[in-house]
Amino acid sequence: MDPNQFLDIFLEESNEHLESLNNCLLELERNPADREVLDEIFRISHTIKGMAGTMGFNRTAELTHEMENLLDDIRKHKISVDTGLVDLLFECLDELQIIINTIALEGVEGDKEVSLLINRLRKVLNKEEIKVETEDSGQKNDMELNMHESGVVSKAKQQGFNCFIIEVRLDKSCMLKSARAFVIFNTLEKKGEIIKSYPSVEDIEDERFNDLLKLVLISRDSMDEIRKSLDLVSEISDIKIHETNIPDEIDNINVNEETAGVSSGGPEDRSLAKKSITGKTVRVDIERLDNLMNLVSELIIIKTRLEENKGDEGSGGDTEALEYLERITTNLHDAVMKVRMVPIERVFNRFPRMVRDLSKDLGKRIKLYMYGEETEVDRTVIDEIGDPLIHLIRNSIDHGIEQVDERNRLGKPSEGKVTLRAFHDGNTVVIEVEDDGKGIDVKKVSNKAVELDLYSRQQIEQLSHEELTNLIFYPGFSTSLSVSDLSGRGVGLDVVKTKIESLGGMVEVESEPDIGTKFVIRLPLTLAIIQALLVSLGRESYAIPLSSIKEIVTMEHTETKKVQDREVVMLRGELLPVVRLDKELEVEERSDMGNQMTVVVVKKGEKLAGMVVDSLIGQQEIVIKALGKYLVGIKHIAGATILGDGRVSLILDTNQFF
Amino acid sequence: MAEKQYVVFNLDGQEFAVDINRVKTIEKVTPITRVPGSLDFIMGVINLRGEVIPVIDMRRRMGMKPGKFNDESRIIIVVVNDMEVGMTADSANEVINIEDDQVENNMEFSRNIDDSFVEGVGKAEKRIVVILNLERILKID
Repeated sequence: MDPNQFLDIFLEESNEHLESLNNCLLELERNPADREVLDEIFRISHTIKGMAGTMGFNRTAELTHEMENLLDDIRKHKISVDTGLVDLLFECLDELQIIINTIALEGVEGDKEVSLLINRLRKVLNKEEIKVETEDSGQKNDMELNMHESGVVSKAKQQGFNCFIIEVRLDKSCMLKSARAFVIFNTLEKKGEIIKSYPSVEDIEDERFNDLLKLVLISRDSMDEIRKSLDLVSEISDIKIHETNIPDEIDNINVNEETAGVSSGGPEDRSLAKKSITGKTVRVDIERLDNLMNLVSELIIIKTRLEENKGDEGSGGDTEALEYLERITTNLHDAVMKVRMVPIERVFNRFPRMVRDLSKDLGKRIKLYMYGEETEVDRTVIDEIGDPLIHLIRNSIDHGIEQVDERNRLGKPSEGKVTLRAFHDGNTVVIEVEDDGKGIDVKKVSNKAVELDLYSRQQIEQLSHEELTNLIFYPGFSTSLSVSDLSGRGVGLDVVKTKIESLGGMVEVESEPDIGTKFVIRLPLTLAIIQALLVSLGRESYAIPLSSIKEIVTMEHTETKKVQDREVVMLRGELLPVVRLDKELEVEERSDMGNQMTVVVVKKGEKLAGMVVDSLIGQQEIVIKALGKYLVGIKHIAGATILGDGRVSLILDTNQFF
Repeated sequence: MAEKQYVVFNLDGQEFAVDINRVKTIEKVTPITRVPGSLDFIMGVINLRGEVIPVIDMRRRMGMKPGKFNDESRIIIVVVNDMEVGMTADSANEVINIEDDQVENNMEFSRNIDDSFVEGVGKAEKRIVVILNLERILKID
């Protein structure tokens, strides 16, 4: 077997596991008594250990092995969870991430030394071990039923079922104990329902048990019938069955919450549920999806072309076939689009850790609240939105939230609050990053704006509070206002704005002094397909996204006036700036449209502008294609699309005309 | 002796060559959509089987007089820095082998071609072709 063949799978799965490990550790820190989280962490370490061992990555295996030992002792209450311990586990996680990254780059583990961490893990282990006597007594208590299970049993009894505790001892010579156990399970499941087993299903699968199986079975059959069916199974040395008398025994049964978490249905149930979830998903290379998407869009193009030709021959059969084709392409298109949708959780996941680390570094107390993680957005958006969000959150933590004593002085809760919210709004996804910090200092911003020669003093005074706060998106702003180790990375909010706008979205900021700051990002649901209006200019045609169009009006050329060198018209009593698209886009061979002009009124936030076009071609669903890296940064163009006749038409970025 | 294969194409009566490994396909001329605000030697974009590919007007780039497309005209799709870009050619229908030691890199040109566009001059069976430096032509720094 060539392990390299599985390297990609290993890497992908490891990264997934590390991500959930990260989440679990955060949860454990918040909630040290949570057994389920602990079990999950144990399970993850175990899985990584197993995978790494198979792939021959010994350092990873060693480290996870030590982690497992430590976690096992925590599970057995030999060690208690405290911050130091969680920090240590976080360090292990970071180490594992580094190793995995190295493997991704070089295919080998690299020479990263893990012995230091291992030693520290062992130290924690040994120190505690001395105090604890060996524990072997566990066996006896393992058939305790938890509250839920005894509830099930007593209900079953009321309905006339019998409940048995069955002990099966396997023959010493039995070779395949798991297989034999499986046969026993199968036999019993025909008779009724197994509500509990010791050892757990997982342990049995891995042959981690001796000869004894204990089961709790609910059945309508009598004890004898069950014994008879078990007698048919070979390689069994002994069978003991006795009936539980729940109503009497219920007092005797230890319904200790903790045992319920550990040895009860917990681990096995969840592992079964996990399996079924992973069974339903398939990993697909994004390139293959893109390819599928391309094929679908070509199908759409050819369909449009067929529709255009329909008038020529048009027999009844053709129309029917065409309608069928249309239905298929629409469905196929929807299906492909859905495949590309992923929950924004993928991006959000990394933030709790980041906030934890940053606030620790800065000595601030901050809690991150996240809402709407399940909001689905296109894969293309997911890949791009991470960095801008990191930047905004860093910004909030670094510059927004005040130090604890400052917050106390202001009468705010000492724990700062950063809220991350995602939701759908019509055809867009809105993501908000909000903090309850000190807000943006409008005075500083205005001074800076004058300093940078963006505005004169007089002009600044005319600007609204909102306009002033939004000035922070200009290049050269945020960095100089806020140099620190953290955000002084030489990038400002202008980078965030540029990025979001390149995705076809927009970002705005609202801020109140001492109350907080809120960044609102608005992104298109998908970057792939939009409704657009096709217009013609000379012999060229352009697409304008329908989402940015407010209305379309026809006017006389004579209605335009000049105000401060800008051409404007009056539209229902409001001044509307006019953009001569043919001039802006340097269109040659302008067709003569007489005195009438068609004006497409587009909006950017609250602002409006009228774009003069020659004529309207029509509304159409278009597939957005990037112009490619070579033509990046073309000012007025947001992308391109392919029309029904195979020609390329450019999509206007209307925001650039304001 | 090591040798490489080159795609030879014609512009205004001169023969130019590009390393065949950098050529993806050679296409007939399809409608080109002008891109306003792009560099002056970029003719526009074409639809190449569902992908939008920029096309460079090579005559303009090489400082030659403008020409008209005809049946012989081709668009050579090259791959530079993972980007696909088309280059116009008056014709392109040959692949030749040039031995490595038949490529000279330091040559002065009397012709009106920007020296920096030229990677070297290759000789093969009495023919002389100008091997182009695609990065420079595409103005990728």
